[in-house]
Amino acid sequence: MTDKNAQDFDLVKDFLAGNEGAFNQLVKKYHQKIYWHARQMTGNHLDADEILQEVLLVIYKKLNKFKFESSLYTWIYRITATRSLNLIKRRNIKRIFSLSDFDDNRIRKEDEIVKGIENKEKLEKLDKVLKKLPLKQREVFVLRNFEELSYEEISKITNKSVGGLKANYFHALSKVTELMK
Amino acid sequence: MNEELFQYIDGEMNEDERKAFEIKLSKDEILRSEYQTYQEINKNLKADNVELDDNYYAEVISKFRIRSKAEKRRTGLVPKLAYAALAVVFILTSTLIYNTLSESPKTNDITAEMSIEELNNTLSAYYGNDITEEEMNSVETELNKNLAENILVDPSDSTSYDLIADANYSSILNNINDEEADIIYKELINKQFLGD
Repeated sequence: MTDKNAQDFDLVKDFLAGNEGAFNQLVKKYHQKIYWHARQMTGNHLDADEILQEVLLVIYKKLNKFKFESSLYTWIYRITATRSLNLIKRRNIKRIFSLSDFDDNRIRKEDEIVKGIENKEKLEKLDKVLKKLPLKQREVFVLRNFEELSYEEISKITNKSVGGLKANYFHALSKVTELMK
Repeated sequence: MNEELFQYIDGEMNEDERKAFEIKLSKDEILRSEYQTYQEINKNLKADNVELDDNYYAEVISKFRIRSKAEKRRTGLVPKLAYAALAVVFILTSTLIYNTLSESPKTNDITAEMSIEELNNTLSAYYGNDITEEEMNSVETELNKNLAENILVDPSDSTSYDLIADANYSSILNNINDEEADIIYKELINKQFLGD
């Protein structure tokens, strides 16, 4: 077991023993990773913030079912990836029935949480490019390119075959390169 | 993108392949240019060095604690709304298909798949080319009545009847859970309203 896993497992055990502070420490450690994954998947702050909250609630409720077999990091990513996909699906369903309350201006204002103009511009560009990728490609692109996970790890998270993931990543990478030229 | 370059970037080459490719890369100007473009793009895309505001963690924790408390207070009515969402989306999907394909010979096949004959009759009666808001409200009322009476709930459970009857589609869709969203999404993909 790695030191990182051991530290996480200790925090989980502390939390399960009733120490709420241990949960706060887990949040402090992982909130940015969860946020960025969600942000790259959804392309906006409000959705990413919502997913982060949903993921924290799931972790809080289900940590007692964590089996200490995989790393906590992988477990959290699986929850985050599922929540991100489902939120995008819900958005698409609403879009189909014209029920979306999506408001670009509102979302832009919320981007104040990011420091510096340069970062904001960078993020805006990233959001735009990623949004142009189909869902399956976006997911593997984010996990492979940004989270730098192996295909085997991504396969565990997404329940998809390594071959299919490679093909999707190839198409995603080609498309992103083309869009950014 | 060149497939070999992709394998190189993706770390999928063994030692020998990698060395051979690097020699190729040093000699092939077009390939090198493509690789440099990728490197530049990737550098610009990475969000790792985009810093979040220092107050964000405090905001996250505080919001989480409030939501966590609210979650504990939630009543058992929400799951009923979630089931309602499934049915509502089924109806909306069917309606959409009916409207979209009303001129097509496929219409009969699709409507034949619909399980609730009464709703089909209602929909075909109400949905013309230029439906007014009033007519739409009337259809919604009818649908909600059907949902409550025929599909979703025990008629003796008046609380959930009121809840569904008062709900609009938007509020119902806000309450669907992940599993239901997944089912609906797959259904919409099957009906070719969404790309996979």
